[in-house]
Amino acid sequence: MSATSPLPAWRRWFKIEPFRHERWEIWIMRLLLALLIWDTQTGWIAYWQEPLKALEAVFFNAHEFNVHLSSQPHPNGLAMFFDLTFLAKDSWEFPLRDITGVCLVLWVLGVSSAWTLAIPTLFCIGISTLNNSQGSIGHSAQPVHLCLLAIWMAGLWAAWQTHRGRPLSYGYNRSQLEMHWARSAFCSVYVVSALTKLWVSRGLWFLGAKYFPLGMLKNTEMEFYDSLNAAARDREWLPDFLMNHPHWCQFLFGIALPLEMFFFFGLNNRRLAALFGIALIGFHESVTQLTFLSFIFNKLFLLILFVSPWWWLIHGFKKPRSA
Amino acid sequence: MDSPAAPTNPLLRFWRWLPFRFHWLLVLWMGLMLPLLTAKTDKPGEFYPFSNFPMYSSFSPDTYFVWVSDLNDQPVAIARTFGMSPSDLKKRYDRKLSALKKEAPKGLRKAELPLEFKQRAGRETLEQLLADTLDRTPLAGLSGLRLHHVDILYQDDQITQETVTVGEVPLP
Repeated sequence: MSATSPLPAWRRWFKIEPFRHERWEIWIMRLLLALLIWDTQTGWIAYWQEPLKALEAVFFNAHEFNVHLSSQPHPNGLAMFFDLTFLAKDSWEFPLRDITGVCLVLWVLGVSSAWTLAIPTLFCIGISTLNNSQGSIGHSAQPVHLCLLAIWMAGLWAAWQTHRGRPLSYGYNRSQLEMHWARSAFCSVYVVSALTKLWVSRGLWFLGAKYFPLGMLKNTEMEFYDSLNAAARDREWLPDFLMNHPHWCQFLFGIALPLEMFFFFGLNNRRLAALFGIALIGFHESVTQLTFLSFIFNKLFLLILFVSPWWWLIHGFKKPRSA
Repeated sequence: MDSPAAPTNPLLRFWRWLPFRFHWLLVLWMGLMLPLLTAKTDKPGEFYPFSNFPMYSSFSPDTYFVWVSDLNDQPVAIARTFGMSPSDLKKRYDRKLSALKKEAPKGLRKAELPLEFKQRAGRETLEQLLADTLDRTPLAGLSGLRLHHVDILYQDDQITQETVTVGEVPLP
């Protein structure tokens, strides 16, 4: 359909308009994504309020971030088939982490992800799988490594399609396809999470949300016992207040479920991407304030892949339909 | 580009029509296939980096957490001492409870398990915690550790907390 066709306004909002990232935008996105992936190997974000320390951690924390795991008592993922404990041996861990850092730099500089992201993807997934095979499953880095895997796969797919002389979907080039698949993978996290909520709660998730304050109290106490910081208990009155006003929680979570469920519309065009991105960042921030769960990767990935404020500053308000 | 002939199978036609197929493949994989394939494991739906993301998928009028103290019940900072978050510690304890639940009378929820089951899980959790703590410097001066299980309940229109000690290990 041509751009001049008189589409009704609501259909125009949902129209599929591929994200044609320019080179400068790809470069910004790669740099930021690489920094977040690198955080899973160095923990530099912990120092975000002290920029010099954070910078120091980016460059020098790769060997401080030492994993000491000699067994996998509750194997998860690939650990169900392979013994991944070798990854925690310094003779493997440090060289692989150093190579991961170099490869991420090469990827940011534009070298094909099919080559540069092979070791980072396998190493990050391997070491996190080992961590998740100790008896507790952590989900915070999961979307990061899922997107890393998607970007690597996009690179491989682009190479294969080029080899076969076939174009990529939506007429994307390799770099644009990498970002498209990263967005698609990240979006799937939310859609699946919404489906699981409906499945596990047998559709009664909204009604059960009134008990969320119990989870808040649990997180408040766990935050206190994390570092024995009494400030964590400053808002201990809030769970009681919310239990007595259950509609507040039901309202907050009532909004969240459709936001997650229909997040896939954010893949359609930049307008919906920004709208869903900002709304979900707002939701995550509300939960952060209530529960001390940071959701830092989620918020930043939403900002980078969906909101993309740099694009709106340069093009967005000038010519909104030229995405 | 040559446009392939339209498939006659309606499912295939739908698949060809569907935008963002990579996204929907992942949704199908993580939301349906993976939970089915891992249904018999102790963590269905989990295969790093894939997950069905079950966090906050249901709420109930009871929950719990655990904390660690010395033998005088003075709390020990979990992250600084053991390099682990209280949430991860709770998940490890919870997983041991889940494993023990198989030995308990049928129909009991984890929250209803007898104290001796919680004590077995608690002791094993502390032993694993110590085994994984290579740097024992923060433990200097402590003669032992205790694990406390705190139930948070919503009863009679108010939130209550009940604490029981579920594990104790001496320190050399």
